[in-house]
Amino acid sequence: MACGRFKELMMASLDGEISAEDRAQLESHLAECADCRRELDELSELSELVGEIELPRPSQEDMMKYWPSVYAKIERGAGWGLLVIGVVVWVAYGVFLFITDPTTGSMTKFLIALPVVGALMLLVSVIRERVNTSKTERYKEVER
Amino acid sequence: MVHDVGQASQAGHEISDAELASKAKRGNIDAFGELVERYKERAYMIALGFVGNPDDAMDLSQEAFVKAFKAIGSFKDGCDFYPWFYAVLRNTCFNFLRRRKTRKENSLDAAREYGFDVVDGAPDPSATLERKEMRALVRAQIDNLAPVHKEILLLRHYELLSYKQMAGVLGCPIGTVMSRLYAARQMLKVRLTRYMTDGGGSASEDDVGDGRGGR
Repeated sequence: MACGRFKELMMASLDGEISAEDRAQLESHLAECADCRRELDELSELSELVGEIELPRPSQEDMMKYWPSVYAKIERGAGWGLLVIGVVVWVAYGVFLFITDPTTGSMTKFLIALPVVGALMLLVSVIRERVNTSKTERYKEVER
Repeated sequence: MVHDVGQASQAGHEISDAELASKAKRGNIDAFGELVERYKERAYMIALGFVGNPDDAMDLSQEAFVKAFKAIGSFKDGCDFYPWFYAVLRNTCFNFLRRRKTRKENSLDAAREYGFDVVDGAPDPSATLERKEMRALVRAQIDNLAPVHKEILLLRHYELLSYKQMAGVLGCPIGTVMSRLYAARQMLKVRLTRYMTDGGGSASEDDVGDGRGGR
């Protein structure tokens, strides 16, 4: 016997969401199918248990601090965003001034650029490695 | 605590959620603050149901509000705020659970965080567990379900949403709600039976992964 459709009706019956017509169909199926009868009994008992579980409510104090905390996070995010944009713009402007400065010779520019580019490459490499490590680190949540 | 999705939380308020969200969209952070006040506890409880740990639940629910504020530009004027926010909260919790899956968390740790008295060692299958202990076991096993199954039980049993409301919040047909509820309860039953008979079953349910497979 195809019980598939009746599994969903069993849920609707458990949760008090079944229509009269569906209930009649389900009952006639249950009268013939011992497996579904047993399964409905088991799931009904299980649902009762799940319904009895209570999640602990948060403290009043935590709820009082909730919006100020969210606000601070929004503000901090905006602050970081502006800081990063500002630094990037300043650095780009500085590089532009340096490159276009007619008083500095090409050789001087080249010699200054070498260690700066090298340091940047090292920085990017270290950051990339740290990011990759933190993605796969299995013990990062372990308290030291 | 029956919620009419968003309506219950805005009952008694002069300004509707949709109006507040529209104001927030135009940069009014106080309006967004009012929305946070309306939904903070509900968001926290949902996050707690997902992740099981009060500190993580607090962080994640707050993070969801921060993300919602950043994304408020995509909120469509006149729509219900709560289902829109719920999608943000759900994604935040699912991402967290996906990251946490790489760590081997014992389900019983989660149960202990709830203050349940969990019996140490493998249970004797012939012994009848007290109801309180059974609840603790059920809670621990719910924590190990795939997020999509955990979610459907959470919405039904703790949020007390009707099938229609669940379908609205999840953006899926009622038939999917029913089949997902059946799959979740069936999976929970299997896990409990396995635990009661051989004391195992603490590994996480991996088959549904990020929860998108159940739709």
